[in-house]
Amino acid sequence: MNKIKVVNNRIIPFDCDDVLINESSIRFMKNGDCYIEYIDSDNVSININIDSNVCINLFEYSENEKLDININYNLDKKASLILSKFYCNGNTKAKITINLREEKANIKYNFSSISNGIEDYNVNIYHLAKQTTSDVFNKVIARENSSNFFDINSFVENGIKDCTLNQQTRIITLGDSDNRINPNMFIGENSTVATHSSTIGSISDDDLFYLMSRGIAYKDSVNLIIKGMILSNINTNMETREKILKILDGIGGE
Amino acid sequence: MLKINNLEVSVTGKKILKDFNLIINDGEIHAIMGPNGVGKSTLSRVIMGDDNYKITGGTITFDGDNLLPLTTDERAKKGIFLAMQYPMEIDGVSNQDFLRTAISAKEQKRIGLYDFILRCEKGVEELSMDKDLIHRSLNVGFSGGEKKKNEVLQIKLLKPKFIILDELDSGLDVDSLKIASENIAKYKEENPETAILIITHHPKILEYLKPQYIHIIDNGTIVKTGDASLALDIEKNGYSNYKNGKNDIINEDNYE
Repeated sequence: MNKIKVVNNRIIPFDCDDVLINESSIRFMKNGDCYIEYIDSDNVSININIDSNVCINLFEYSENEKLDININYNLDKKASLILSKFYCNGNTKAKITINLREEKANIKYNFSSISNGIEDYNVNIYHLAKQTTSDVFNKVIARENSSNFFDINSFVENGIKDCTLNQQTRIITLGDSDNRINPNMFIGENSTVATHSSTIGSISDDDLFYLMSRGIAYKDSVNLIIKGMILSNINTNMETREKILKILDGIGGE
Repeated sequence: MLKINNLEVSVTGKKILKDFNLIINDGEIHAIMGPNGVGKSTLSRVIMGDDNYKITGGTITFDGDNLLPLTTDERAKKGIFLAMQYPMEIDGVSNQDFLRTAISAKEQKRIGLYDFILRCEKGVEELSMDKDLIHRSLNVGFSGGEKKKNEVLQIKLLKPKFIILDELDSGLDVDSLKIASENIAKYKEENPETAILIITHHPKILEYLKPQYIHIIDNGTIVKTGDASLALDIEKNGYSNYKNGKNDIINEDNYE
C-alpha cells in the first residue's frame, strides 16, 4: 500500500510506487491502494489526479486540533476512486471538489466523522462527461455542542448523458448540537438518474430498546450503534480500525 | 416466576391495561389472544420495560423480585426475552457483533470468537437460516420470516428462562412457522423450567407450542381464561362472545 503523510501542510511520501507526487499534487498512474494521513496540518491544498482506466482505493485519516483543507479529485476516462475518509478533528473546514472529467469516471465517496467543534464541509461534484457516476455517503456523529454544516452540490449540465448521482448524509446527534445539511442537485440533463437522502436526529429509542432487550446496557447499545454507523461506511485496514475503535470507545453513552 | 397484580398502564394519557392480573409459573406455557388494539403488545413491552408506557398502578414481579425499577437490559439479564412482532432493523450494526455483544452481556464475559461461531452455526443450521444473515446488518433487508427466525436464534443463544412471543406467527409462512415453533418447542424440552407467554391472533402457533392456559384479553384486561379448547372456540366463533366479559378464573386467591 502507498502511504503518504501530510505534515505541516507538506506532502511527504512513504513507500510509494507508481505515484507521482509534487508540492501540491498526487497523481495515480496504476491501480492500487493508498493511505493519506494529515498531521498538524491546518492549511492543506491538494490535487489528487487519477489517470484513465486506473482504480484506486484511497483512505484518508485526520485527527487534528484543526484541519483546513482544500482538495480536488480529478478523474480521467474510466478512472475509479473508492474513497474512505475518517475525521475526528477539533474543528474542520473542508472544500472538496470532485471533477469527473472524462466519460465513465466514477467515485464512491464514503466519509465518516466524529465532530467535536465546528465542522464545515462544502462538497461539489461536477459530472463533466457522459456516463459518470458519483455515490456520496456522509455519516457523522455530532457530539454535544458541536456544529455540522454540509453543503453538497452535484452538477450535470445539459448534454452530459446517462450520469448517475447519489447523495446520502446522516447525522446522529449526541446531545445538543447545531446541524444543517443542504443537498443540492443541479441537473440540466433528462437522462440523469439521481437519488438523495438526508437525516439529522438522535439515536432511535426503538433501536435502543431492541438492543437493551437483549441484555446490552444503554452505554454499550449506544456504542454498538455508533461503531456500526461509522465503521460500516468506510474500508479500513486493521491498524486504522483499531485507532478509530479507540476513539469510538470513548464516546459511547454520552 | 412472573406475577402481575392489578396492573394499570397508560400511553399519552390513555389507559391501555387496567386491573390486569396474570400469574405464570415455572415451566408453564400461556397464550394471550384478542383482537387488534386491546393491549396485547402493550403487555409485552411493559414487562420488558419500555419507557413509552406509563405504569399508573399495580406490580410486576419476576422470581419474587420487583421488575418495575429495573431497566430493560437488567430485565433481560434476569432471563426475560421478548421476541418482537416487528424486530428493529439497525443499519451498520452487524448481526454478528450484536449477537456476540448480547451473549457477552448475558454471560458477563467476552465470548471467544471460535466459541461464538460454533454456537451460531448450530443455531443457524437448526433454523434453516442463510449463513450470510449473520454477517449482514441487523435485520436490514431480511424477509419477515428471516427476521422472526433471527429472533428464535437469539432465544437459542441467550437461553432465557421466560420467553414472550409477540405475534411470532405474523410474517411467517407455514413452513417457517413450523421450523421456528419446533425450535422453540425443542428449546423448551431442553429447558423444562422455561416459561412461555404467547401473544397471538391465530391458533396455528398453539398447535406447535401447546399452552396449558389461554387468556382472552379485551379492553385492557383478561376477560376469559381456559384451556386449548378456548382457542378452537375463538377460531370458530371469533372474539365477539368474550367482549366486555369478566374473568372469574385467574386471580391471586384461586390461581395455582
